[in-house]
Amino acid sequence: MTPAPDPRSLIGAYATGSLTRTERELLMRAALEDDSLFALLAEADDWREALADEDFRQTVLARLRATSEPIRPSWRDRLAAVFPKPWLTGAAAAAGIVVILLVRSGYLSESSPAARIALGDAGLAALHSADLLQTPTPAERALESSSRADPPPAARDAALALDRAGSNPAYRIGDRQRIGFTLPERASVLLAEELPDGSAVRLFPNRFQESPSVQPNQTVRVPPDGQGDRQVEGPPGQRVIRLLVFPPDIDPLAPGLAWEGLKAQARVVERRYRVNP
Amino acid sequence: MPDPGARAAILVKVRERIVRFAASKVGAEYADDLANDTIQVVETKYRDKDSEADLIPLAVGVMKNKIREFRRQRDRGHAPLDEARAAAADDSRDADLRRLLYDSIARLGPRCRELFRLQLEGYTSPEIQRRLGARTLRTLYTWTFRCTEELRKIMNAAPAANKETR
Repeated sequence: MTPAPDPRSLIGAYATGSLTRTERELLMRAALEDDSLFALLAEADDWREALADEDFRQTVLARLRATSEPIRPSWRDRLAAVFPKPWLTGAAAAAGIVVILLVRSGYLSESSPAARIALGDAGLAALHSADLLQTPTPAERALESSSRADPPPAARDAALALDRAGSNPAYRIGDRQRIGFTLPERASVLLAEELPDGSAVRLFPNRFQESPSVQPNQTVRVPPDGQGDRQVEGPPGQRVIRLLVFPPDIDPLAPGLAWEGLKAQARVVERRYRVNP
Repeated sequence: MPDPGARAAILVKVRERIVRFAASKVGAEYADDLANDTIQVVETKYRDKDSEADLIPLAVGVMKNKIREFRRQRDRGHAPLDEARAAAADDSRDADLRRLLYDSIARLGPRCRELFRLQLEGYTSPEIQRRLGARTLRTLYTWTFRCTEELRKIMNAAPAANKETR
């Protein structure tokens, strides 16, 4: 069981409105008994009020997303996440490292018994590249759903491909996947995935590839080379990957864009795939 | 059903905290009255609340309003209250704070910016732990504490007009 956190370490989450009920109770009980913590809480309450305003919150988020840098744990930390117990013998640790290398290079599946025994679910999670996914802002969601309801012409010269052949290839939950696209001319793009429940996630730009700009004939891979593969997650069902292509001077992530004004300049490519349980 | 005994015990302690905090903001001679006014509002308006998790944030909000009213009254002396002017002053203070908060968050280091981004996006602590590669939740909480301190340091280094707790 995780030991209770220092209540002071919960002040930031209080300001951002992200405390769980348990964390909130812990913080408030401690503030009741401690003048300095109470003063910190009162100060953070100003931040909380400001960030509770949705427009301001989205403005701050947009700035943070634009300046987001990939925070990759060091190899030491990632190995430590797989082998948290310091008493593991050298031989067992060496065997685990071999398994990690085999999984990372694609010779061994993450779902294989060897990987699951050697690494466990926590270890597999440490290799996961799911921090790729970006939750769209309300403005992006509006743009994305408008572009679905009122689609632009097809981008016949753009190439969008999955790493499996077929017009609707099948993946299983836990399978690895890579997506790639190429355009013949410079453009700004938005790559999004529509899930079976109608929600969407943005795949590009992402925390590793922040800019929506692509160069002519540049093959963009998602995730980018060196960042591993994307792991297919649930729920099962039909997925649609949509590449929206805009002229290079348009930033599809800029706030305030209306689809009515953009549609004439946009083009789209779609690919479908199924996720089986 | 709210537990009146528990509620009363919490409000006694809340009052003590408010007296000390208010003394630092408006002076010791006015702190008791301000604390009493605050507790009276909480007692009458929030009768259905009886936990620290609910009562303390509410009391903090009321306390800040009382501090603001006190300062407004102190600044205008015997002049009648101009509500429109007071509201405009509040809006201006709010805008200053947002500007300061926005600029200060942008000046944080990359990990702190990423941590705040994930919190604002609504990720839970375990999800943030995984995404940032923190070995344990305790490590994440330590990072969060340091990032909050860094943010406070940046904001407190700003000109005095922007720093006042309302």
